[in-house]
Amino acid sequence: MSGVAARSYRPPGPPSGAAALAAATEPPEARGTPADGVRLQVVGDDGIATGTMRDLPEALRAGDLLVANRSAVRKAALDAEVVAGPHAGERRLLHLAQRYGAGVWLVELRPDEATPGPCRLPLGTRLTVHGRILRLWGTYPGLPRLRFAGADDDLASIAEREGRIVRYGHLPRAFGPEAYRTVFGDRPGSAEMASAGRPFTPDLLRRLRQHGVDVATVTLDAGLSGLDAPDDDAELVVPEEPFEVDAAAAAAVHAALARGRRVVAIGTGAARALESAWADQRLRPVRGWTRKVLRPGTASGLLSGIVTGLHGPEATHLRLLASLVGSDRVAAAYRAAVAARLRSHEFGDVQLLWRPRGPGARGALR
Amino acid sequence: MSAAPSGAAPPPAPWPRHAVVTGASRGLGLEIVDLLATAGTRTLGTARNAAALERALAGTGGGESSAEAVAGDLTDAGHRRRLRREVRDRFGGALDLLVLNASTLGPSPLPALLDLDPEDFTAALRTNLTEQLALVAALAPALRAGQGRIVAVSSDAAHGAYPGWGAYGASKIGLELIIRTLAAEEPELHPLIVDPGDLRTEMHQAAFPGESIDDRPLPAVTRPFWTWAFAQPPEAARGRRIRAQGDAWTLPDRAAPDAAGAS
Ligand SMILES: NC(=O)c1ccc[n+]([C@@H]2O[C@H](COP(=O)([O-])OP(=O)(O)OC[C@H]3O[C@@H](n4cnc5c(N)ncnc54)[C@H](OP(=O)(O)O)[C@@H]3O)[C@@H](O)[C@H]2O)c1
Repeated sequence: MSGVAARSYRPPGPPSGAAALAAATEPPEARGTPADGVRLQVVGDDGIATGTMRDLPEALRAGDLLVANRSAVRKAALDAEVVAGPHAGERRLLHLAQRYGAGVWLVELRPDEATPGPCRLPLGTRLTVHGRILRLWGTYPGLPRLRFAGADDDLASIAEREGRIVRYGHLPRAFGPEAYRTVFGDRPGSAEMASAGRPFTPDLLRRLRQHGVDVATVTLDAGLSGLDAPDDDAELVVPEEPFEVDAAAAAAVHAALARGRRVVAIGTGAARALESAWADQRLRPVRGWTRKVLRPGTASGLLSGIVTGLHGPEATHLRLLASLVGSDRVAAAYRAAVAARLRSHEFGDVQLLWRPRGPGARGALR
Repeated sequence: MSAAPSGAAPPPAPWPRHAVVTGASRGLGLEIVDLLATAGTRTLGTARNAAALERALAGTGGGESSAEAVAGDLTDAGHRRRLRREVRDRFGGALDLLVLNASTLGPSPLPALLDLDPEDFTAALRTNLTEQLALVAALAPALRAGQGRIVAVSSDAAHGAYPGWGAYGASKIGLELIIRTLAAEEPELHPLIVDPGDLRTEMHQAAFPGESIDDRPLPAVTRPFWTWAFAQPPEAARGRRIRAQGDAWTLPDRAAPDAAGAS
């Protein structure tokens, strides 16, 4: 199995600056900045330049193809209470990480927004969630924080009605669903926003099109972001996520590649969807669930670059970026980001990282 | 007959209410049975060694609702008739899921084809191929009365042409063809082929006698896959071949008709 070789891979050291970035604690609009007014760091062979998102068209060429994620955020946070047993009456914050099918969920139970766990509730525990019963019946292998659970009804509609958008400790207060909309998101399914799409506004899209830049869309329904990635990723586990690359997206990417044009993912979800649909040197229209972990040496080379938010020292995010543009470039970008005081997380600033040009760059980065 | 255990209710359909899993006393089969029992599916598990089977199943289901043992050899027609009776008596004759998991590796160490005892070859083909179909035939009426879903556990050896694995591989590629043909002939049985990937089990150890297989994951690594597979509508994956430890579990294109084919 390929898994055996992959398991012995050691990651590059995470960029030391990642931990030193300050998180954006509110949407840019709350501080009087429009969505496309966040800062944009462009990292390429010519060096690193930092402006605002509105400068994006100038960083791109006519013919470049952007690929965005259509998945919209769904309300996935609910209040739950243990029904019986030694923990009866205890309250938990329930995060619906992923829906595997009717009434079958991967969930996270935590004391509150700022505290990831541990969950401590034994298997078999029943909780009430707005009058419904949720029963814990499995642990995700390698990620004890996540549990499989069954519900007596589909919780999706209850979550839509009664739930909140998942929020972690770096945000001191809650924001409404409008803060989590992206222009691309028209298929609710993600537990966390595809945040790289957030700084794209209708006006910016119009200017990109005028500039000759095309936009295609794929879907990847994100679960909860990884907090468990160990330093040594021998045991790195990333739960599977639903994805789809439809025929239109595959055709657009093929047309761009055939003309030698650059394909740029908007966000790691779009990148993971594209890489998951790539086989035998082509992009297949495909839907399903992807388990593909992108790490240095595994990317196909189909992507020339990626637009992405900045994140804390989450190994999975940085590893994915390193697989696309090389770990040296990611490290340099994060050092510059710390110096420029860029802000991290879903409401923060963004980067456009280009894969180094040059011989053998395609798919050969280590 | 034994009273229905007072276990937890399973999630709503398409999650199976009633299942039969062969080879449930250890390895992958035990993992699948434990997952089903914990989720609230009433499950009958089989294996030849009755004592080992009872012992293993007693620990399934997290203490709430353990899987039920029906010991026997799947190559024995009497055992297959008994299974059919048990499904009728315990499940009211409606079966939602049949997992064809039990199989034989053949002799250990694995012999090259020209050293293979023809009797061993025949035995592998019987256990892994012809008698699997006989079991399907025995339970087909119950599967039609229930939601109907057959999962056949295959192996990469079906396609690999690995030295030593010829007899086993031939039986598994035969099984795959039978399952795909069944998907075309009996679509309402919703047959699906699963390659579980390398797993640290007795069978895998027998393929590598004296070698450490500690770098292979335990069968629990496939739990998310089974959770996903059983939660899908049965027709979603009909006729597909899915690698449980592969990079993606792909389904037919929304636009495309139900393409039955190896991926
Ligand atoms: N392990 C791997 O790496 C791997 C890889 C690819 C595919 N697979 C497939 O996965 C499935 C499970 O394999 P495993 O590794 O879990 O094997 P295992 O640990 O040897 O378990 C086999 C199970 O099947 C039962 N069994 C064997 N022959 C039987 C028969 N004639 N009638 C009824 N039950 C029988 C065994 O119990 P008794 O001996 O008591 O009957 C036992 O419960 C097999 O189909 C195998 O080909 C395994």
